[in-house]
Amino acid sequence: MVEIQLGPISPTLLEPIAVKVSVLNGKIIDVNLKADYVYRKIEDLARGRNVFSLLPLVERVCGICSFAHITPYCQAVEHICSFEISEYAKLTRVILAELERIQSHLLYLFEVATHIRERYSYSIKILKIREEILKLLEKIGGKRIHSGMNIIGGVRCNINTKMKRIIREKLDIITPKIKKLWEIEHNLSKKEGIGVLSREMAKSIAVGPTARASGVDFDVRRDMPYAAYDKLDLDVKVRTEGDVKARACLHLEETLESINLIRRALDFLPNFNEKFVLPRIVSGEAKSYVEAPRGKNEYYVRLNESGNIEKLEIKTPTYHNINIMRDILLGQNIEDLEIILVSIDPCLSCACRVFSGSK
Amino acid sequence: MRKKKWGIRLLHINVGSCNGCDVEVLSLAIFGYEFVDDSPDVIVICGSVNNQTKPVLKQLLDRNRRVPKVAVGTCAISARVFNCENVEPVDDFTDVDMYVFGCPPSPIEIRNGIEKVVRGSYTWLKFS
Repeated sequence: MVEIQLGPISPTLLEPIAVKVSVLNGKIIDVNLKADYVYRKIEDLARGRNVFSLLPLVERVCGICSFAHITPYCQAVEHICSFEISEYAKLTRVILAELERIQSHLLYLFEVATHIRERYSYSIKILKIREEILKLLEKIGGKRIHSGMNIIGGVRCNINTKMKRIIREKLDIITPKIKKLWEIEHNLSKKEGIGVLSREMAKSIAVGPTARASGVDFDVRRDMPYAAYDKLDLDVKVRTEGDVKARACLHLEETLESINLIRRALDFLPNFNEKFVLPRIVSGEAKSYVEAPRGKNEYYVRLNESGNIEKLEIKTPTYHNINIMRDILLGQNIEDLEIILVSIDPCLSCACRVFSGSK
Repeated sequence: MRKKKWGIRLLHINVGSCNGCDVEVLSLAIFGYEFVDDSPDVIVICGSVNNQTKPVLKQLLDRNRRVPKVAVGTCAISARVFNCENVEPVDDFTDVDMYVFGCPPSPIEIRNGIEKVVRGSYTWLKFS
């Protein structure tokens, strides 16, 4: 038996994670995971602060899916204050969230493609498409990441007729490029049947695309609709194989579905002409869900009488998904360790705000 | 974009950032940067140091003593929104040759900072 450690800092991984595996005859027989390196005390820092001054901190829980964190926080506070946001704000939230989902899924495909190590140019192609989406986000909100477009009571960007045209043109350019990425299905054909997650386990633990690749037909956007998702009929993609290839292909399908959603939302989007009103903050508590790029994201907010945060609780998708890691790694070949690791799309900076910081 | 491969070997250390700077550093792969874990040309540090990553960073810096260090992002410079006890900026911990400011800085800015440290000068590039 040999013990192999990957990480915590490794050129193939974006985030610090230490995986210690025991190997016997080339098969993994034991897994030890340490994933709490990027602990940042966010829930402690939030306590006692004003709801509006907390917006930059909540946005910086994650740099890949920052919009999926600010949206449930705003929704929860709006629900406490019984404040209804405008139609324009609802549809804009959908557009921005879907643009973010596209860039996050493309980043996932890039990570999977680099671990196949067959064609370098293929993975760079994915990064270049992602760069175009980020440029579009910069054009809309003025910043590539952490743009601060979502605030309590609405959104802060103006998508007018000209901007609508720019978004449509950009989507027309990238759609054929993304469709060409289907060759990943051929590149991954060697990895068929690797890292299989059973349907029972997916149903009880996993969320998001990881669960949907194992046949669980659940999507927060369709089953617990928020913002304007109830208007736009969403086609939830489901696969039944549950292996590495199914997860990668599902991400690609969802990317194309997100483009369709943005097009539909742009058709409904009214012109920006209403006056912006801030809600009056009252005490109370609320829970809010969104479908982040990695799955169900859950926020719980409790406000005290003076309108400050008494408790902020964040339950991110990786918090659920990291628990399946051990089960899908056991019994696999050691050379597939890295691709299985990235195939569930772990986002540790989301997940690790709640682990204990003492050592 | 120019076709020339720059070929800078880069050791990227995430010491507790929100992934924002890390994905922007990752975009440098478009310029032909290599991500390695031994004998790098430059060390790129993202995020503010916390209790868990302190020993990891110390070990990696001891291994690469003479390599120039670039601190990327506001968290690495001042810990910004995560400023509290046990979370400290990178330059409390080690000497840094170049700071790249921004939350997060764009890949162009990061590239310019790295080029300035490694080659002594830089030429302005644009994404194609």
